[in-house]
Amino acid sequence: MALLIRIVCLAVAFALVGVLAEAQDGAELRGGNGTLYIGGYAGKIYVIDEATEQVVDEIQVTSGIPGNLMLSADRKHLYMSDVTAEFFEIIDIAGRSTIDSFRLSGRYERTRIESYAVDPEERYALFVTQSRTKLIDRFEIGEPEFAQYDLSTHQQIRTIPWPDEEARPRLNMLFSPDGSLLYIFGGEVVIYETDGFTETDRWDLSEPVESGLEPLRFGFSGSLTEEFGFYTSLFTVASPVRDGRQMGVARVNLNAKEVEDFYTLGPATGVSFSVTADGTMAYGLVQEIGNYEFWSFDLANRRLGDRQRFNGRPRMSIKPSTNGQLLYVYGAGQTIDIYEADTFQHLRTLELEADATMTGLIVMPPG
Amino acid sequence: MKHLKPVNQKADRVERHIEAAAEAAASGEVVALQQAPLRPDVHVPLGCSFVFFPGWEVDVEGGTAGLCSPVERDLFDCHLGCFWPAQVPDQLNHAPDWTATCASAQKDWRKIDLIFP
Repeated sequence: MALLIRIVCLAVAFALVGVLAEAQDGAELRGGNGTLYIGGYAGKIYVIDEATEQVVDEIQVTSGIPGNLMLSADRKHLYMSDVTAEFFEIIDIAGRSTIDSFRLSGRYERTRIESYAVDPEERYALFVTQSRTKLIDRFEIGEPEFAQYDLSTHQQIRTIPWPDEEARPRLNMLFSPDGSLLYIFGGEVVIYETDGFTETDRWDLSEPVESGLEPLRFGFSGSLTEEFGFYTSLFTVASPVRDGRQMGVARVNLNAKEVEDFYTLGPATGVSFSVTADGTMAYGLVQEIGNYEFWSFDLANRRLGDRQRFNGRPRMSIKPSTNGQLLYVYGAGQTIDIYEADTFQHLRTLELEADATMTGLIVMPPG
Repeated sequence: MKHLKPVNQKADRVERHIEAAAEAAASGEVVALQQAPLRPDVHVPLGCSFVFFPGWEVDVEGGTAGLCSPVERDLFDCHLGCFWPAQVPDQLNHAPDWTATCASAQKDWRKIDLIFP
């Protein structure tokens, strides 16, 4: 009996050592040497050193509360529109200060910037705007406008014709790295040259990837992790042999206007998708009331990875760290929860001074 | 709209305003807002928010499990864009600086400003 008790005690001791060792590993695990940027309701952009997970600096914006953040093509500036969508601000990252800020509103006219794209050389910006004019007895809502603005004078240079002559409240746009082309994403990818902003090409996304499949539905966004023009994401497609839609991963080559690679994973599920810097893995969140799950995607081996339920909360967003070993879960609150990517184990929580706004978390690799 | 029935005084005022406006339009009478005094039943500004979206008292499934927990996590995001103008101050028009004295609702809830309409 005494021997049995000793064996049990030894087993418990070994188990505890194992748990402590794992905890120690988790405590030492870091996300890389990059820098994180996130906007907050104190009217600041927080600069977080990824290696120490500390807020090392704050950028006090001049136009209010950060609403939308985007990196410049050369990664030296941040472009920001505030939560009223009236102000546009250009922030120098190294100097941690605003170098330009302006608004298009007048005394009785409020012009909101619904979408924007900035020329890679920062000579001009393209804005999709909509104005509300206060008259003596009513407000008049103007039609959406798509125009080019000179960033040095803040004056409108010209209006730009809408793709297919169809005005839209907002556009998803990307410049090519040399600024010679503008890609506008919608039902089709419409390509403009940027001298006169005339359409030079388009990619009809209604064409199916393979015969028997319906067209893919996807959208584009600028990515820090892939070479320009290449976009890896989840796509859904209707299957000719199964009910419902199937989900898959596709790599799109915008430069060649082709889907380079596509493979299905299973029935379509509402899950987010964020690719690691090396492109070998992606992680996402399933967020259903009462059911929160981490999903991993093994892109190198073209298969679904591990999945795990966890005690989540509504309105989470996820981004992998620069080295892919950690996952940052942020949004709706003042915390960034840090999880180990391999095990989905919660490691620790980074607390900010203020609630994060909807700027999202920019995870910038070093260099 | 005929299947909706007002259940409180404000909804009743809205319905009477709409009926009055319809009658005025039919009769050719136009009442501009700058004319004073306003009709006594027209003092509720309409059209502040153009969104009807479950998510404050109940979630999209009619329960509460899908609401942000604690509610303070979502408080300031709800204030953006005049999204919930009756429940939280309206960020676009009347209370753009609501978060100036308290930027973290969950952490510093005691400092949250009270805004009176």
